[in-house]
Amino acid sequence: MKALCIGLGLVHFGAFAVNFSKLTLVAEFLVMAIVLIARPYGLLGRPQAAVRNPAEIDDPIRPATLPLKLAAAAVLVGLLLLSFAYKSSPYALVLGIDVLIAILFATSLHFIMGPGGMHSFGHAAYFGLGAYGAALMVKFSAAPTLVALMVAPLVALMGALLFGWFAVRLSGVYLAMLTLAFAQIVWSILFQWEDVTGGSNGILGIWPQAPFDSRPAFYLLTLAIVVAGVLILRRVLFAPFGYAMRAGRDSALRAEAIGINVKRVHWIGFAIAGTFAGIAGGTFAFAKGTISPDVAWVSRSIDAMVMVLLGGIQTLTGPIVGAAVFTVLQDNVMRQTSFWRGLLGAVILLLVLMFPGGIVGAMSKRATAWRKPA
Amino acid sequence: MSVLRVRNLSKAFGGVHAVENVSFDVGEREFLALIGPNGAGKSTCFNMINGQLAADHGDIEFARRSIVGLKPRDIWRLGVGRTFQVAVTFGSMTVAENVQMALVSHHGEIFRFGAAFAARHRGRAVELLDQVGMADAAERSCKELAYGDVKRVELAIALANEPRLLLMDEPTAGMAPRERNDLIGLVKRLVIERGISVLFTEHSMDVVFAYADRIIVLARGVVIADGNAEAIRDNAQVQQVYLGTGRTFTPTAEARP
Repeated sequence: MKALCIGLGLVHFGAFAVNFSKLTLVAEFLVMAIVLIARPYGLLGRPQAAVRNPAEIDDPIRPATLPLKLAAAAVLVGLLLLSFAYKSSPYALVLGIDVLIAILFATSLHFIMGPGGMHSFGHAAYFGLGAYGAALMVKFSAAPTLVALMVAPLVALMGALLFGWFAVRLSGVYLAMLTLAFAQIVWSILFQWEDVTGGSNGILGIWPQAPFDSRPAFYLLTLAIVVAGVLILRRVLFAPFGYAMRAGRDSALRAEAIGINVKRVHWIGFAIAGTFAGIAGGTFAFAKGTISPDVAWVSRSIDAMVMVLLGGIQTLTGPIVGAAVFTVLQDNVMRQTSFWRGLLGAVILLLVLMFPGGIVGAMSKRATAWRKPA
Repeated sequence: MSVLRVRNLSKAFGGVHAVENVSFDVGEREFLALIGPNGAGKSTCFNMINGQLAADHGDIEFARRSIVGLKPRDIWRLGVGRTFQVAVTFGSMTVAENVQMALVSHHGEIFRFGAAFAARHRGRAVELLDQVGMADAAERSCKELAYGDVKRVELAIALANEPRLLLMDEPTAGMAPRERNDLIGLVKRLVIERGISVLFTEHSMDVVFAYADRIIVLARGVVIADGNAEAIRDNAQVQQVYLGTGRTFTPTAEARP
């Protein structure tokens, strides 16, 4: 496939010139995606029934209890106060922004993975589309920060609507493969479309403009965006749409039999999750000032998945706790040793073995066990 | 006047005629049983009516409108309720939320993103649960319910869109004899009270002969008998089809119409 693309080189289709040698990476994953779309169950496979329900059925979702609300308020006050700590420990804000972005990214993935039952292995695609959407706005039209931040989710939404339309037609491991293929397509376009995306060098110098040009100000902006994003996603889950998404996951057969268009509901859900991942990506671009195709690489998708599973996929606060723990852990381990990847993996393995239902899952189970004998 | 008209319905699976030229009507307020030995084509016939399977030939009319080729969700929107052979509910929701979900869909409110689900049609959901005797369990998680109770919840869900016709595929499968009679007795009462028609397939003969207004017998994909309990019981062809299956056509003592 690659050889074919290189061999074809520059080909003219009427007025259009297509340089096939620049499509080598895209072509590979495009073939993978096309096969999955045309023959969703493998080249020689037969259709399987759509399975969206997890092995263990979730508990009904409940609105936040008073202690949880108080805890959330306390955390929020703590995060607000952190912005004054800039002078004494400037690094705290850098890490704080990383954690916040990870929280929004993981929460958006959880939105489709948990309540939607769609295990996306390519959520970084929408993070990357958001990041590049914002960065390109700055690079080519010198857009103001807030405008660029509003373009980010729109770009991600477009991508999620397109890819999601195909993805919701599949389930299980085939859905995982297709989402992965789509993410790799995005990554390879970012990598090989050098004229626009800057190729492997990425885009440099995307800094927020005044009044967000100081660390504390940008931190507060990120905090506002992430808190709003998480609350909106949560609200949607408690709205009829969120319930319909879970209905489609629990039993597509039953949901269709009460008039729910399961594919459409899951498609819209996929698009919503992609949009919020795009917001996280756009914020990330401004936080780092430099982005490269890495923003859409597989490891980012997997990181988000680990965050969701670490926190507990069957809980609503799980992705928040998971993202925070993962990011802080990664940061600490990274500074201790050069073998940080191995060590981080070992720590996460340990955590998963200790808390099979995720950190929040284990905690809420303990809480109910406490309450019952009383 | 008939609610459902089935005409010359046929379906073959790779040369095997699962259903062949089946025609029948379901009348207004009729409690109609579709029976037959294993492999007679009951489920195939059923799945064509509810939209799960595409028919090869024939026509199905609900309320004088052809429903051939419609999706299950479209058929439901026209006013056809449905329960499954193996009862399915939304396991991650409470009993009340299951019924509320159907009500929300019935009122076209699926694509609402901001409003809270919890209070929506709550009262109506509890009312429906009360009718099937499950109001006390409204707050319980559906995954914790005993199977017989899941069947009742499913019935409440099926009634949520005010159906004119209820399709029940083996409503008593997997239930104890006593539960069976309770459930069918309940359905029968609803038929009378709410004026709906019911088409159901059934394996247990005691239930069929005790409650059905009319019985259609399928064998090898063809209708071999159509009539009331007495006519069916005396039908020589029916007896032959069921010969050796160990079925006696006598209603059990506790089942009274």
